[in-house]
Amino acid sequence: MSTPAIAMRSVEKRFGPVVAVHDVNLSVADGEFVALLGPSGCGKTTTLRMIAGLEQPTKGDILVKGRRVNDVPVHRRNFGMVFQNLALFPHKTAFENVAFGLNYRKVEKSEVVRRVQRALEIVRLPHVEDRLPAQLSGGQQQRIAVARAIVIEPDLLLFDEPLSALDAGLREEMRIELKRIQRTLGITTVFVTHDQSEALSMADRVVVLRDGRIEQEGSPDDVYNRPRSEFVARFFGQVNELAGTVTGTDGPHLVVRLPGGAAVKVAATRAASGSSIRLLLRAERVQIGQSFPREPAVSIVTATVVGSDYLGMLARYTVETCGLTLTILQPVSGNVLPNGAAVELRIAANAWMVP
Amino acid sequence: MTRAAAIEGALAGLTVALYAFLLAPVGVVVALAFNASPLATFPITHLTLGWFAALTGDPAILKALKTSLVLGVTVSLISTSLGTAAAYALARFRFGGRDMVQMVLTIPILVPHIILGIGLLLSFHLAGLVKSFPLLVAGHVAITLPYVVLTTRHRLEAIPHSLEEAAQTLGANRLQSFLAVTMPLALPAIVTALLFAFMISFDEITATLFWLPPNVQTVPTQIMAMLEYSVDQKINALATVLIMATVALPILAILYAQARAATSRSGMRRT
Repeated sequence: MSTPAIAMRSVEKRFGPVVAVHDVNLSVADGEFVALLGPSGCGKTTTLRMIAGLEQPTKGDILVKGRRVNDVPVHRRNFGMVFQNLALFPHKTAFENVAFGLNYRKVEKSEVVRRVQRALEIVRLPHVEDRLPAQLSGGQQQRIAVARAIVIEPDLLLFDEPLSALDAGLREEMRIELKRIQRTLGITTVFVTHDQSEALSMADRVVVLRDGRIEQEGSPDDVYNRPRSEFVARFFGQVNELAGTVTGTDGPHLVVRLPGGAAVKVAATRAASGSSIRLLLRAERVQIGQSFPREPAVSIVTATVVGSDYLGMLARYTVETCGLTLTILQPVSGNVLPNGAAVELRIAANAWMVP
Repeated sequence: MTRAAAIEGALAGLTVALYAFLLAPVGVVVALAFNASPLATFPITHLTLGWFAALTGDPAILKALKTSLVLGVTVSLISTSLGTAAAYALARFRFGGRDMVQMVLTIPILVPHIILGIGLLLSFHLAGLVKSFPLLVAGHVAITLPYVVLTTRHRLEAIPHSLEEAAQTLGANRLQSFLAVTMPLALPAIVTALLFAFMISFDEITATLFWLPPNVQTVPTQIMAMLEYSVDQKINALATVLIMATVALPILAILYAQARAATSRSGMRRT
């Protein structure tokens, strides 16, 4: 692999006695879109601010294209950043906001106008140059903030939860827009978020942080389907946790006996027969129905519905099967199943996660 | 008449009486300034502008006015620069002894001016300094600084730090980001602080009496000196001029602030 666009080597950040970031090693390839994902207080924003130069690492090095930048001040780094509160200058018009960075880079006046207009076209927001930020809608402000960050042709684009202030519909739209802009320009991007669907839908690679450490990194598919820990599994939605005993193998699958006696097939790593095993199962990876066909890579378990919540597009069922209680998310077609309904659960062997 | 209306009427009467009590002396001074009689007596028989003319012919008063203006302008500029810088530090940074610094900067408001006057005079003396104009300026800066800090700090705290950070990511260094972003946003508060400092310096008499260098008078001490011998009608004329200035300055400031607010509001309506 060529020199990464940005690399963090054993970076640590302390605030007094509090260690916000422990020994983080991270590289981002040229043009890559990386999401730093985690709950609040996991150190994701601090990590981003260290890359930006707004915080100094206590230990470790930050390298841009192989060059150490720890001592390069913020204003010399040439990184575009979009802040959580957008940080638009309230006393400047949209044009002046976008042009701001060009004032500090010897750019000719006619060139400034051309580049600002080009940036506003990229974010699809021309004809608002004369407005003050307070006169723009939330989505328009968002686009101005992005235009302001990209107009300087930055080496790196940094986003600090920029969509958290928007309402749900607009957030979806801006997700697609940001992704499109990033693809169009091919700028290396680091995106901080606590919203797992944002990270999964936008990023090439997701880095899950927990208590200042990297818990897991990988493609969206990796972190979602092959979580290395229960923390990561639970972070991406509702998870059922079960303990079972390995009783043998069935072709490529392990056969695991659950406490109530039901046996299920699990596509998983080797495990000695007779050993105990912990299984995780996503609420949305189970199908509820009647008389499913028997297939080799699928387990069918009978169960009883004991509770349901109607969520609109989905229903959340609580079902019991041989003394186990499972939570299941299911698209609703027709009516929500009544309590006491006898059902079959269809669980694919590869739906099980073994942390 | 209902009971509520009666109470309302009584309150209205009380309010009028209170304002009359507060403002009548000012009215008396203004009225007497136009009285042709050399004695400060009512009723006024003839009107004249002669006392105002006499003012402009009195070299002592003109000298005092010049001293007060130079003092006020110098003090307000120094005090506003220092005070804004201090308020910025208090609003932006967390540092050891921050609470202490804040207390030291604001406590002079609570100290009687006579104590400040004697204290600083003693300090000058112990340090072997003789009274001089720069020391008078220093004293007035100490008196006005807390007002500047209190006026600007609140505004500076309301400006999100991320605005300066954004400016820095875009290529502005710390000073440039302050000048381009924070300073314009804090300008109304800085201008208010400047006016405050000027007015307080111009009006100060208690401590000033202790600090005046020989043969120097400010407008208030000059009036004091004149009153010691007689009630000169010129004093009423001078007081009238000062009252006009004192009333006009804040009104102009308020009009300016409203005009600014109106422009930004009319801007909002376009959407």
